Amino acid sequence: MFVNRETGEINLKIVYYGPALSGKTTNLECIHKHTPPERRGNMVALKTYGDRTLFFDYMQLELPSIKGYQPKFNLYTVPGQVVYAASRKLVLQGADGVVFVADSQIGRMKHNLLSLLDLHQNLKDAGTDAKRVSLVIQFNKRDLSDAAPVAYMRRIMRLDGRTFPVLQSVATEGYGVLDTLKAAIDGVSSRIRSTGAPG
Amino acid sequence: MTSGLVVPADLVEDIEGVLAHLQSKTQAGCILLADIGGQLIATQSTREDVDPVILSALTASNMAAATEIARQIGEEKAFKLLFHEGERQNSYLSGVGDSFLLVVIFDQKVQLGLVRLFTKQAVKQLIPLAERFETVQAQPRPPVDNDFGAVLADELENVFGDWE
Repeated sequence: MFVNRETGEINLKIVYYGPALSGKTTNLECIHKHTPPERRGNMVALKTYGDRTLFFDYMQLELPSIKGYQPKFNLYTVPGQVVYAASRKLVLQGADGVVFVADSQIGRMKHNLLSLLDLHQNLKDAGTDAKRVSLVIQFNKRDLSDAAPVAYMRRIMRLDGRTFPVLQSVATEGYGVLDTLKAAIDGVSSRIRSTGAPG
Repeated sequence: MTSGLVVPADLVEDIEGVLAHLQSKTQAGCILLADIGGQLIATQSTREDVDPVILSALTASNMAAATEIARQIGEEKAFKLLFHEGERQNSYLSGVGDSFLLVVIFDQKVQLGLVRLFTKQAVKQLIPLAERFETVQAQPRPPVDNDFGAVLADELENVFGDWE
């Protein structure tokens, strides 16, 4: 979070994390498409020739002023491919919230788990107190015929007993994308309220 | 990095003063200070076509890649500056301490030597200000209360209107 008292801006950073091809960029593209132009900046996408995310995708979402302060959400995705570990660490710096986009396809469970462990390790390495980062889990691609049952995914990803919001989505259709974003923003604002000014 | 920072207005004014001075000396089109996480701190710009927020995010990743290059080739510290020369526009990136970046965007009418000279001076002035940034983290509280969260949720509904 970065609060500029002169301009009255509250900048918050939300990072979409997850294994390769789970739909992180699709989430962001969908949000960008549905946000009124006056409320969003351009979307920046650093892609390889194969249309895979190289560094990150980025967009800014602005909400109207609340009590004299203007909330601005900086939304990032990280590259999911294993080789881009350094980029993921960079993008996680200063994150207030993380949306973990899991791939529901049954054959991708191992990748989901490894990416979740990678997230945990990167937050630890960055010196970020995991309790200060609000986490939301999204089970994406629920429309596919080989989607694993939700209960199975929760068990495999060791989410049972945890309090993270878990949402289902079909990001290509826009289903569940806004609810996920709302949960992430709600989590970030709750976390700020409960912890006060970080530091 | 400025995670969790509530920045006093006078500190931002001081930083903007340094950036404005640098701009007046160099006639650069856009000057900005960002943190290494890509968060824009302050900017002075006459270029309405340049989005400083996006530039901050890209610059931070650029510097991070350069830092890794430095490490790979045996340089112990990060590169102090990065210069990108274009046909019409150039960008000059300098590290400010370990946590901040100063970016100067200028065209071919401006001499590189001039930018180098005045940027170096500006970095010296910005280092103590950047250090102040990192000491103000504990207070004051951000303006977020229960009501704020509820209003935020309402505004999200309003902005996205009929989606879903």
